Formats: sequence, structure tokens, C-alpha cells
Amino acid sequence: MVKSPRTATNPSALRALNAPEAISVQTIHQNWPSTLVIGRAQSKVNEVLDAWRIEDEWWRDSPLIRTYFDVLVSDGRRIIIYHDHVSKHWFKQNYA
Amino acid sequence: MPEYVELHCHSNFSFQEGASTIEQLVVRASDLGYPALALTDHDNLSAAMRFSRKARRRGLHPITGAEVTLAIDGEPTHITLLVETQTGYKNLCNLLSLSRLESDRRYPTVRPDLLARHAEGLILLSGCARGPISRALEQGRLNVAEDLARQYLDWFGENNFFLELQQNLVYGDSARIKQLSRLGQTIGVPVVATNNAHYHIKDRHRLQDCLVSIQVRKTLEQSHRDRRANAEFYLKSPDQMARLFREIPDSIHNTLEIAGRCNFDITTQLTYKFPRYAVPDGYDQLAYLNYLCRDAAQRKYGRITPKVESRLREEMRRIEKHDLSGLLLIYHEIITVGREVQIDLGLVDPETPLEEAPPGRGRGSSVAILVGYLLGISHIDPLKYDLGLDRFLPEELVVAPDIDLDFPRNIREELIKRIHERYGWDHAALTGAFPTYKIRGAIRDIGMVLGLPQAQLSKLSIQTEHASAQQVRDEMLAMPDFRDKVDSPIWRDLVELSKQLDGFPRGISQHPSGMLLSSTPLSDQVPVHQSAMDGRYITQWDKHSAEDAKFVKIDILALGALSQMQDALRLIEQRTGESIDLSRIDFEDHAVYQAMHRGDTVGIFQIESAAQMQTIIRIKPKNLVDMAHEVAAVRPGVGANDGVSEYIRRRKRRQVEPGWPIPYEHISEEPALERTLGMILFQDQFNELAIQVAGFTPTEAEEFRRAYSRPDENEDIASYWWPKFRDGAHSHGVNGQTAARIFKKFNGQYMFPEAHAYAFGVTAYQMAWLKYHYPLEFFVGLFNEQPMGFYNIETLKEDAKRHGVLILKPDANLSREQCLAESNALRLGLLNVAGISRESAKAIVAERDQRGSYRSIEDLMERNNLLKESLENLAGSGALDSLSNTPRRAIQWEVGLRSRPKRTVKGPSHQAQRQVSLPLPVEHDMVPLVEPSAWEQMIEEYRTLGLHPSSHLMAYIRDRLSEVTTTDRLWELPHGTVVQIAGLVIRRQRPLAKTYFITLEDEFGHAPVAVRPEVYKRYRTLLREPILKLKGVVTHREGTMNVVVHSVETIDVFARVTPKAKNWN
Repeated sequence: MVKSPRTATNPSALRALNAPEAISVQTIHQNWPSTLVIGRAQSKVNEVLDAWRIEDEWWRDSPLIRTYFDVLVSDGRRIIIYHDHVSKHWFKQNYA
Repeated sequence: MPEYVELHCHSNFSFQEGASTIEQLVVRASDLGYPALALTDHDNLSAAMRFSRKARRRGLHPITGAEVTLAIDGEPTHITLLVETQTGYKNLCNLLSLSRLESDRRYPTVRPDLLARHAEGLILLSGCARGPISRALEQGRLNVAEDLARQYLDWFGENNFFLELQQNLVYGDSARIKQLSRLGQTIGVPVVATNNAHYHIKDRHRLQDCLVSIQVRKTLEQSHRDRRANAEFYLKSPDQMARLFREIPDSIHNTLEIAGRCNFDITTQLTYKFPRYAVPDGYDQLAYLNYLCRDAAQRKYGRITPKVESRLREEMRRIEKHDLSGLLLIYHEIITVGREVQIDLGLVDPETPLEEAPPGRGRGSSVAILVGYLLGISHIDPLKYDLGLDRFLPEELVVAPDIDLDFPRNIREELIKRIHERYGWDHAALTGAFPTYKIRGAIRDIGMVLGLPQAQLSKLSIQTEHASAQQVRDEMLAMPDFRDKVDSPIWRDLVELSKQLDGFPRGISQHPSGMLLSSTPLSDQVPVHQSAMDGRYITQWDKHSAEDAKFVKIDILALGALSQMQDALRLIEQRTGESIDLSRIDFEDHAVYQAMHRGDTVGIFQIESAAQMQTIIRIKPKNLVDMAHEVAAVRPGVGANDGVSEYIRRRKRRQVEPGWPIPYEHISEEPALERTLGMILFQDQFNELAIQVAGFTPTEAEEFRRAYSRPDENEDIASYWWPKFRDGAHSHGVNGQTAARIFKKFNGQYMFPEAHAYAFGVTAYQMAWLKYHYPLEFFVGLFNEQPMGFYNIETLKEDAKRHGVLILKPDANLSREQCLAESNALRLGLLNVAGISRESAKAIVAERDQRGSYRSIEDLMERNNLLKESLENLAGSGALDSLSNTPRRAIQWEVGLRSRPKRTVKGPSHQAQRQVSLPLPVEHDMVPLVEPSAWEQMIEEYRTLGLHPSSHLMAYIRDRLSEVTTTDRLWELPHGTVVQIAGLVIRRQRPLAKTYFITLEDEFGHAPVAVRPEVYKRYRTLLREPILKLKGVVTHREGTMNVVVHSVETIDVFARVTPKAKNWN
């Protein structure tokens, strides 16, 4: 049995898991990513392994329209990024 | 330029899984340059025929198919089946039939062994992400996937099985495509690309999301996992598809390869055959039909006159030409089966000849044939009314003729079961029907998934008046509570999505009457399965598709009026000993017609509506020809161009001036329209006019008429039929302007066929005759067949009283289950009391018949196992008054004291449940209660009976209405008199959204009221109230009277329950 910490939950201490991280992306035709800028590091996209799209929550003020890319960058890492078609920004976020 | 064919496409006939109509898909596919398109709705072929017809018309090659649910280890998976050959189509129909016959019809699934046995002639695609192979691959069970693929290859054969690749940009699609491609290479199975299209354009994904949410009864917020991840399931262009599959070009090429092989044409290659009758030795079908007709003609006419001979010869010639003798013999057989039912139900003496008491009667155009009259199919002698053959038996048949038969409700119920038994479900099945979304359903369902407040949705949907979901915005703008919401978030989605959803089919249901018959198994032509009603089977085609397939359809209809007639005749015989043959009554009885001329037609079949009442007063029928014109006149197709008023004007002019020449646009109209004074009253005249003016062949004229009657073909009228009519008319010497004026006479609204008008006119007269000569039995029959007709039972009670028929409250010791005639009064039955089931009513009567009258409330309760609520309702209705000397309130009190909680099957032991309760003394708990006031008694009777036998609500509030004119005085007032009137609203009607009509009822009669659109707009909400006080002007026109309203008030009488008006939109 887990012992009660006997303290109130502090909502401000809650931390979102897997929160998207804003990044910069240079693209070629049709928003296809060619280079990622994460922090100060720049990585060339060697290969787009997969791409998929989400369109949902269209009834809300802020609908969800994203294209995800599973990319292999020049340093050998595999990164998942997405383009938010509403805000027009790019983010890095794991996807499962 | 790449080419592509979509081989996996759902329409809205996938029911809650497709967001576009057949028309939208066909047009879009054509616009995208597809050479072909496959329709693969979920587990059904409901739209296959209409898809094929529409696609062909647009030059698009249609491929018939279905996405079929296949059970793998008990789990539902999806495969795509495409029809290559006639055998393949037959196999697909049988698979889809079996998928429902051998499992829960609501969740059809095909067993793998059935798939194996029905593989010939079909091309199998491995299915979507939920396909058996895809699922096994996703689960990492590569061996299972390979085994399944090999099995399908074995069942379907090389080149008939393809691995289906779908790239909808959903997470996992790319991986699955790779795995499937690899598998294909391993075992040598080709791949094919599809897009699993669920809508024609991307924007429709919102409606698709809503439909899926409706299907799972969740809001959009809750249905995330049930819906598709994105909006990529639309018909994509060949370019888009080629890009998506640029690494697997074969998958695109194979779509064309498959499309090229699927050449089965559902519109021409069905193997349907008209039903055949088992004739006695020595006869063929035609000879036996001829024999039966001549035999009956001898009985009916005494001898075969030259007129009968010549008509029979002509009919037999056409019957032989169209191979219809088997069909007519089958109809004869159905009438014979109906007769057996009639005898078994004790409704007729077996000794009485069929002609004297037929079990049913014909309606529709079939009434025009003498063969039908002789075989007992119809009750109208076509020779007597000079009815032509061309509508039912034209020289060239466009579709198989159908015969509509009306039966009393009880006979029809049993008859349908016996037909299924006699012919088997695979040779006789009911036509399917597709109930569609209209405004209320759209508001309710779309509103629910959008998460809008339930209370507001109910309010909005209840107050709507239009039927079409296109009108949600207009309706909201007309309502003060919703006006401001129209453009607000979510509500604007409701408006837009309801518009898109309008007319979508909600599912497959049963056509009320149409039965399809076939010599070859029906399940080879169309999937057949059980309906929601026990013992009934339906096809997946509606009447239009069945008609396009040239299937024979018999309409077996329940007609309440025939039940009423049957009941009344039985009661008359019981009371007077007189057996009345309604075919031999005086059809020119002056007194009966006089009653009609006064508009005294409440409760009479076909002529009781407010519109019919107003027309009959003006037409003043004097014989059966007039009756046919009367019932035909009040139809939307006649009224569309002010036809009814014009016809009446011409009729009156002819009466005053017999030689008055009928005005025609062109003399070529005369042969078609002379008998109805230049107006189109009957469907037949539609065809005749096209033939006479534009030289259409009978076949063309029939196709022309059908184009109007089918909304999905309306587009052809302007582009195809008008130029054809104009050119045809021109060659007959009719100039363009005149032709245009004549063309305007055609419309797609409903009209009666001429023979049908005679059939119904005769029935209407017979009912009017019964009402005039035997009002008591007429009303008993009418009460026992409720609900039917245009009026609630309170209004019928008032009418009965005006005809000298007293209505008596129900009585536990005097009533039977149904109403009965008691001296010169109508005694209400126990079934008239709310909450009394047929079983309870039967038990109360049986117990009384067996062991004598009930002596007290206690006695009734001890001898019957009735629910407390039922007893309270019996008390409230007055049915227990005779069992106690105490007021009704005290009776209800006693019922409460004596009632015990019902024992349930979950009791401690079976023995304990059987133990009889000891009666408890309750006398000491009785309290002195006063008799309820007449008003309170009325409210209680409205609640329990729907009527107040002894008086009328308005009589109780008359002293508050000193300035109000009663309905009986309105007729005396001169045209233009300003009056105030008040009463219960018994009917509301808004034909074609013009003037709003209501009928008010007070204790003296009815007042027809017209509310002009501008007045209606001001008082729309108030006009929904049950009791109204109106100010307006009396108008008299050609013997009719109306009050044209200026202002509206409600009268609040604090009555919780009032009889409900019947609303017609």
C-alpha cells in the first residue's frame, strides 16, 4: 500500500508529458521538411520515413490539422515532427 | 496523364458510414475523369441499381460490389468483393442474404466457408485496415496473414484475388502497405490501390465524423477513437493517387485492369422471371386464366356479351404479349389465400361466394382490367365506367405492372405470413424501404453529436414545420429563441451539416405493402433477409430499384376503412339479421349525396379531410363518376396549378351553360382532357396529353411521367424531356409558346390513376351510405379501427352525437374488449382505456363471461391480475362507476388501498409466489371524498380515454366567451362579417407552405380557419396552443365558409390534458 504523502496536490506542479516543442523547419515543395533547427542545432533531413495526417476537432474554435513526419536526420537520429496547419508552426513531438 | 479507377467506395447507403449521395459520387468521379467506379457499400446492395443507372447515364462504367463483413475467429473483419460476372453477382447476393439470415440481421457477418462456396465470378480485394490479412499483419502474425492469403488465392483463383493497398495518410498505412507488398511478392498475389472513399469531396469529412458518432451514439468529443483520423477518405484524382503510389505503379494500373474485367451489368443481366402458377393438367397459364375469367363472366353477367367478349380478347392478347398470365393467376391465388384467412378468422360464411364478400379489393391502375374484376382482384366493373387499358396494360411495357390490393388490417397481417409460407422467402419477399433524414431527425442526431443542449434541441425540433432538413436555418430565424444562434459557433455547424444530411437514408426498413415475387430465387437477384418483424422477409431494394429491375410487385395494403366496413356490416347483420351486399346498394341515393353536399363527411374514407369537405361542397357529386372526380381532385398534382378551383369553375360553367366550349391551349389536347373539362385530374391523362400533343409513344409517355415522379431524375426534365416535347408538339402544329404553356401542366406531384379514383370513389360512397343509413354501426366500426383518418376520437365522438349516436363510458360489467352497439348507443370498449392491454381486456371479459358480473371493486381485483395503474385508469374513465356507490375519487382511493406490489419471478420460491393473498379489510381506511367536478372528470377522461363522453370542453368555458360566435352560427353570417371565434384546435395544415389552415371545434361543430402567411408569421407560436380565440372575417365562396384570421389569442383553461390536434405538413 502506498503511504499517503498527507499533502494537497499542487496543480501547478503538474507537468505535461510529451509536450510538443517548437522548432524551425526549412521545407521544399508542399511543406516537405528538408532541414530542422532544434534549439541552435541544425540537422539536414536525409529521409522522410513516413508521413501521416490528423484532422480533428473541427467543431472547436481551434481545430486540429497536423501533418506528421517521421524523419531520419543527418546525425542518424530518427525524429518525429509535425506541421500545425492552423498556427503554421512546426513542432517536435514523439508519436505513438 | 495517369488513369485510375476507385474500386472501394461507400455511399450514404453504407448507413452512418458514407457521407455522399450516389449522385454526388457519380458526378465527382466523372469530373475527375474516372473511366469507371465501384460502389462497395457495407454489407448491402441497396444502391446498386440506382448507382448503375446513374453512372451509365454519365458515361461512367459502374462496378457492382460490396464491403463484406467476414468473421475470422469470431471477430468481424472487412473484405472487398467486386462482381465480375453474372454468377458472381448471384454469389454476392446470396452471401449478403446469408450474412443476415445466419447471424443477427443487425450485425451481418459471413462465415469463411460460405465465402469459399460463393467465390466464383467475384474478385476479392483483401480489404481495409480492418481486413483479415491487414489485421494479422498488424498483430505481427505473419504466418496467419500468409495462410489467409494462400487460402483466398485457392478459393478465388489466380488473378481474382488482390492485396488491397490504402494510403489515407493515417499512422500505420505506410507500414501496412510495405508488409502487404512484401507478402504479395512472396506468394505471387498482385496488389491494387484503393482509397476507401467515404465521401466525394474532402469537406464532407465533417459529416462523416458526425455519422460515425451517430452510429456509436456518442458526441464528437467522445468518439475520437471511433472516427477516422483525418479527411483523406475522399475520391482523389488519378494524379493524387499516382503520387501516393508512385513507388508501386502496378497498384494503380491494376485498378484499370480489374475495372476492365467487371462487365456485369445489373440493369440488363438479371435472371429474374415472372412468377408462374401451377395450373391443372391440360392447361397452360394463359388458357387457364382465360377459363377462369370466362367462368366468372358467366356468373357476373349471366352470359358473355359481345362487349365482354371483345374486351376479354383484347386483354388476353396484351397479357399474352407481355407474358403476364402467370402473374395474374398468382394474384388470383393471393385473393384465394385471403379468402382462406377470412374464413379462418370467422369473418365470412364459407358458403358465401367470393364475389359477394371478397377479402380485399383492388386499388391503383389495375382496377381498369376486366380480368381483375372477374378474378376478384378488383371490385370495379371497368366496362361500366369505360376505363381504358393503356395505363395498366399498354402495348409496350416500361416496367412490370403492379397490382395493389387493400385488405382489412387483420386479414392482411395473416395473409403476408401465409404468402411467405406458401412461396418461401426466396420467392416472395417484401420490398425494402429507406426512411430518410428529415428536419427533426437531423436536428436531433447532428445536435446530439455536436453536444448541443438536449432541451434546446427538443424545443427546436418540436417547433419546426418544414420537413426538409435544408430549412433548419429558416426555422431558427423564425423562432425568437433561436434567431440569435443561427450564426454562432456549433449552431452554425448544425445548420450546415443538417443541410448536407437532408434526405440521407437512415437504414433498411420494410415497405408498408410491396411484395416481390419471382419464379427464380429472389436471392439470386437481390439480397433477401429477415425484417424487424417476426416472420417477414425483405429485399435490399426499394420499390424504385425493383421497378428498374422489372420485378413484379404486389402491394398488399392494410386499409382501415375496409376493417371499419367489415365491422359495420357484421354488426348490422347481428342487429337486423340483414346481410348487406355493398356492391348492390343504390349508388345514386339522393339523401346520401345531400349529406355529402353539406360537408357531413367526418369519418368517411377519402372525403373527410378539411380540403375534401370544402371541395365536395363545391363539386356536389351526384353519381359514382362525380365521386371519382371528387376523390381525384384533391390531390397535390391537381392542385399544383390551381387545378382544383379551375376544374370546379369549369364544371359550374358547364352546368349553367351546357354548350359552353372547353378552353384548350391547343385542340390536340381534346382527346386527353375532354372528359375532365380540359384539366388533368388523373395520372393517365398525363401520358395521354404527351401522346396527343407531342406524339410521344406510350412507352415514352410513361418514362416521361416517371421522370417527374422520381426526384433523382428531375434534372432530365429540362434537359431532355422539354426539348423532346417541344419538338414533338411542333411537328403536330403546336407552336413553341403554346407547347410551353401545355408543358407547364405537367408536374411531379401525386395524382390518382383514373381506375384508382373509381375504386376509391366507390368505397367512399359505400362508407357515406353506411354513415347515413347505419350511423351506429358506422361509428362503432370507426371507433374500433382508431387510430385512422383525420380526426381524434373526441372529434369523432362529437360527430357521432350529431348523428344521434350516444357515446357511453366504458363499464367493467358491460363493455367488451372493443366498442359495441348497445341499443342506439355506442358503448366504449375496455381497450379504449389507456394502459389496458389486449390481454387484460380479454381476461376481464372472459372472467365475467365465465363466472358472472363483477360485484365490487374488490371482486374485480380479486378475479383479475391487473396493475394498479390500469385499475386507476379504469376508475378515471368511469369504467368502475357501476361497481361502487362512491364517487370516482373514492373508487381510485379504494383501488390504491387494495393494490399490493406485484409479485415478481424473483420471489423467494415458486410456491410462495402462488400463494393467494388474503383480502384485507379497507373500509376503516376509506375517507369521505367529494365527487369530482364535471371539469375534473373531463380532464381525467381525456387522460384515460382521449374523449369526454358526456360533453365538450368548450361548453364548460362558454360563460367566459360572451363575445364569441359559436360555430353553428357562422354559416348564417354574411360575407365580410368580423367575428371572434373560439375552440379546440383539431387540425393544422400548411399545404406547400402557403396559407395555414386550422379547424376549430366547439360544442356545436367545426369552424374552418385560414391564416395568411403574414398573420401566421406574427402568431406562429400562439397557433400551436390547444385552445384558441381568434378574430377574423367570415368569407363565403361557392357554398363554402372560412374565417380569415387577423389576430390570435390563447385561452388558458389550466387543462393539463386536452385532445391532440392532428397536424399535417
